[in-house]
Amino acid sequence: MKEKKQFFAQIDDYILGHLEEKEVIAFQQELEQNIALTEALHSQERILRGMTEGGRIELKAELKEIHQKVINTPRPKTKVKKMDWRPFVAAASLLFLGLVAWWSWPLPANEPQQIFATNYEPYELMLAMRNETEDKRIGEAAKFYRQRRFAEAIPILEALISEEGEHSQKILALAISRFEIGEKEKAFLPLQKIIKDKDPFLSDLAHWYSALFYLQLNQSAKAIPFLETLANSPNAAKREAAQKILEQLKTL
Amino acid sequence: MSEFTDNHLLEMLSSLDKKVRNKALTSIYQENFLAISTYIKKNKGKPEDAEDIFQDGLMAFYEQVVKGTFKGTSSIRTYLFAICKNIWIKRLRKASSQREIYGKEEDFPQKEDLVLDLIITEEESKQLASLLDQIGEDCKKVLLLYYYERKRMKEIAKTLGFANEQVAKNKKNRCLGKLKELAHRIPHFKPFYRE
Repeated sequence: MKEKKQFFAQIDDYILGHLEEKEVIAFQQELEQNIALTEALHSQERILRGMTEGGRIELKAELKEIHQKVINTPRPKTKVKKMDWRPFVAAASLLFLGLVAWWSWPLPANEPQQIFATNYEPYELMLAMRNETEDKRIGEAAKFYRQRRFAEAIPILEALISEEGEHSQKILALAISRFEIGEKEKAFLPLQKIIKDKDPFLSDLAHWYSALFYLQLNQSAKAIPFLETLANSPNAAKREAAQKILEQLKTL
Repeated sequence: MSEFTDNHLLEMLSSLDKKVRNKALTSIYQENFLAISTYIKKNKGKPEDAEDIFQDGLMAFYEQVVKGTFKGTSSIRTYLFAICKNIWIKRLRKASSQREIYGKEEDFPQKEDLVLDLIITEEESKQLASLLDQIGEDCKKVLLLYYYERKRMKEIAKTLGFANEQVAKNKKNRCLGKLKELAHRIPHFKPFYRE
């Protein structure tokens, strides 16, 4: 009798796959002749389905948040260490006033390059390796890129792109790397590729960096179409920033 | 910037720390969404289909990881792509077969029963899931950790600060009792087995 009761206690372990093979066989043999156990099992399976549904609802909500984060903010926010802010209030206020004054001041002649300097940050590359040995080069490329050792990252990125097929994140990282080491004209080619492919994930960023690179080269006229595309696209990640730069450029 | 091997990601997905799990999911999302989204959009899908299918695929993959059925014989990228592709093909087939079912009268009664059973089961699962919000946050956590994330009682006890495995087990049983009691108050709900 005690053994029979034991089977009821094992129902959860059975449906969750926690039983040993021998125990599973014994449980299944008991199921064939014990109607009450079968009913109890079906009952618990209904619970499991309900809990699975509950877990999926929670996970789906989490994934939707991740989607927004990944699509809209490719560069994760840097954590700022909390500090006692009070001693800095006065200084911050003065700085703020200074910035407002600077912002509204007429733009000097070399403004495009200043706009570039204000807005440019290298793309935050996130690459996952499949395994340590097979994808050692991905890890190396990512490491060099992170350490701003762009000249070392370039040949690896180029090899990965040609061997493993096109991958927009690597292509964008290649463009940034080339620009960083001064191969400025060559930096536009990978960006054009991303834009041409209408990459839904990185096309906005390719427009953004194209515009910034032209600004750095003091070629505002070439930057404007890229900025306008972003400014007129309701869901573009850099829409507001592009609109702001266009406003600044009008005053030049 | 984040770089993880598949093994790291699998460990992180199985973590009881939600932040660690979220980091792994974010990394997998960032690394794989584009390829799957491109595939779906090239195969009659809209951008919103791509998002939905990728998330369903990632959920299915996550469930296989926590159940221990993902053996790692292929890379996460390959495996996830295959799951999403299958889900999308099934969804396309379902859409076209629904049109076929309702076009062929002789098939209708049999398939109608089958579909009805499925709808009842799905409906019941949704009702049970919605009851999770009525049994208290602690109970919800215990039941989801045990039944959805497949964590052992020992791990649950440690994570939620219970004195030992038995205390966690008792808590789980009490929470399950609460849930069943609420379920039985729903009109027409098929009762659960009672010893």
